[in-house]
Amino acid sequence: MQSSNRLAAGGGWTPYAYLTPALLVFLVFVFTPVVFSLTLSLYQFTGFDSNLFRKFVGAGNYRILFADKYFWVSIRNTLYFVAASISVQVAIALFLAIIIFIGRFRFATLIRMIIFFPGVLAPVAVSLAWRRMLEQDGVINRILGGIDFSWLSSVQLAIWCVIFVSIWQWVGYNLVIFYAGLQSLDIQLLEAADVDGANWGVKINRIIVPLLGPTILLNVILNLIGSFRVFDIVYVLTRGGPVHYSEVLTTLMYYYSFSSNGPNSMGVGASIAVIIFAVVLMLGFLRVRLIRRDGGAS
Amino acid sequence: MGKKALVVLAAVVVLSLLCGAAFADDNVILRFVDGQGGNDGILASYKEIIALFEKQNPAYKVEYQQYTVTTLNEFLKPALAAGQAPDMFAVYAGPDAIEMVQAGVLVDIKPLIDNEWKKWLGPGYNFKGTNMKGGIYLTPQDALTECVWYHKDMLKKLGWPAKPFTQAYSMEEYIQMVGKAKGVGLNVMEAGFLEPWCYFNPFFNFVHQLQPSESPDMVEQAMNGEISWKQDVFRKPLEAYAKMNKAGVWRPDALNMDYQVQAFGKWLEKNSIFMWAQGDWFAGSMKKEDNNPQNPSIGITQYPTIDPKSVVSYNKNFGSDIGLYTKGKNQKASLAFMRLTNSPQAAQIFIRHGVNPAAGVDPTNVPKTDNPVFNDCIVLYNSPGRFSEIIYFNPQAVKAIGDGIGNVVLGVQKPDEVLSELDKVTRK
Repeated sequence: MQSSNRLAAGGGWTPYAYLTPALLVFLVFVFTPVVFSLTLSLYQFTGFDSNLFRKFVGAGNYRILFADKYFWVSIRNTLYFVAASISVQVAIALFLAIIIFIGRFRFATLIRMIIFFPGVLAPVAVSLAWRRMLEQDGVINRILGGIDFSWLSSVQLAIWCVIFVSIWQWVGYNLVIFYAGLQSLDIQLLEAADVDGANWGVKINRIIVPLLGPTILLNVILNLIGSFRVFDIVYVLTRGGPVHYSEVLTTLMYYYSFSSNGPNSMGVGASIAVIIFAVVLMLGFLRVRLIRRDGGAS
Repeated sequence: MGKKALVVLAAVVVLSLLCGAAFADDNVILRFVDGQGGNDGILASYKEIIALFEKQNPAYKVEYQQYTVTTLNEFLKPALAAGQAPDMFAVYAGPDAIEMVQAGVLVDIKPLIDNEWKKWLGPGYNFKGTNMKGGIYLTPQDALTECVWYHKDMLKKLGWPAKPFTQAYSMEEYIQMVGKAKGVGLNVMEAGFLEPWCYFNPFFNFVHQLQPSESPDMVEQAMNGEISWKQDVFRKPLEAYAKMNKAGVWRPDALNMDYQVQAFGKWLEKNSIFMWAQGDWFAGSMKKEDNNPQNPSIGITQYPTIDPKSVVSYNKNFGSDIGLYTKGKNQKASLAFMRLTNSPQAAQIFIRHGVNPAAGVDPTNVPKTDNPVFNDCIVLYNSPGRFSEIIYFNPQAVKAIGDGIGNVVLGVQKPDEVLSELDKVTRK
């Protein structure tokens, strides 16, 4: 505190000089593309023209988007992704973290490493492997008794297969964050509960989970933001198919912008990017507010 | 000490830059990209053609980069938007091509095609896919026949008679094959429907089979809004797709596989007897043990006939085409390269690598090679028969057809619902 006051008091332009490189990076790589995308969403642009702003269409791209039934499919699928990652993924990670923490297994570190391992693999590699396993003659069908079912060609199930793979890959990441939170708990609280005769159910529900509140919130917010931006797992596993029934917002944006035999409409793709940005921005503000409120309460 | 080190470092950097500049290549670089990734025949052909061009034009070097069908636009669009596209690039004839012409990124080469080049091009000069808005904006590279290929030994194992490659099995025959194939542990057909052209190109073939005559092209009429889509000539092809899917002619996995890598890869490994939407662009990629003069084991058959009144139709056309960038700095040299790719010398190089050249040869007198399926493709390409166009310029309609067929196959929509949507797109 004292040093920053000293800087402000006697530094003049010095603090701003230190901030300039970071601000420049932010301007070039964040602010400018955001403004650019917002502007592009108001223009009709195929992507083949060097004059990006030849034809102004105002809200025309958004009208095209809202009239496309696959846009609503992608919204639905994205919400499925979000809901599953903030509930199922977090719940599994929390459950496993508590079990490992309480159980004090001999190989707890190894178990944590194994669960976390998929999180360090490239999502493309994970998706390729699961794609092979989910094929009609893949290992999953053989385990299920040699059934002849194409998981990724099913209109109803394709998106859930994608969600499953995503949860499989990232649950370890959430587990590590939860485990860190558990290790920071005051162990005397648990000992005191032991003395009072509380069983493990009570200790988990009344002590551990409430104290892990901020950590749970952190994981929920991280998963929320991450699941809105998911692309690679969906693209490699299904490319948004069959037809467009496993599209999410990001893959639909790719389809509109780059797909051969596609709509060739980067203006509409930019509109989707603006929608994603607006949602993620709101979630970011929400996170800041919740953290501040939580910090004030504590 | 710190200042000294900085001075030394700066001197080293400056010196290296100067040295680099001194040893810099004096050649002018022509950049050329296409979307033929995975096509070994084209890759080998262009390597030789480039070597020939560089020998004839020592001041120039050609840098050639292959992308795939799905990744070409990922590279090309940002490059075009930035005004930094290569001197020459591949364009797929159809909606992409017309949009590029409208954006003004392709040079109209019609006034630049001399008489000799025009003679080499032959029918390619009037190719629908390259002639747009009164000009010629692309030059075709390879010709294609697109139909169904199969492993002859697997068909023999099924006990099914082979047919001449100008003929087709009927839809009912494929459906009958399914039960028989299961009995001997075989699958009937691989297909890669994640690439929508695998839906709509055969669809066009089905329509052309049912038309009263080769012209007028009823697909073109419907695309232009002159006629309604709600008639049997369009309905029956959709029903045929649904019927074949339901019967298991292709496995459900086909709905979630791409053609270029997954479906084709599985078929090469003999996962299935037939390969849907296969063409001579892959003649150079067959396994030698299955495709040599002693064992010509790759067969060709046409798209299935879907009605007793169907006339077998041939999807013959030109494959990839290359265009000249309007902002390219080396247009004269690039044009010379493009001209060379249509020359008789280049045609011999293409043929040697199992690529059917679009130009530079007498199509009825292409020399035989030791690639049996390629030889068959050449004969097929020059066989008479009803022509089935596959190039159309209405992107919304083409997209709606691809999605619509997929929805009918999945059982999400009925054929008439798809046809109503098509009418809305083309007859608004």
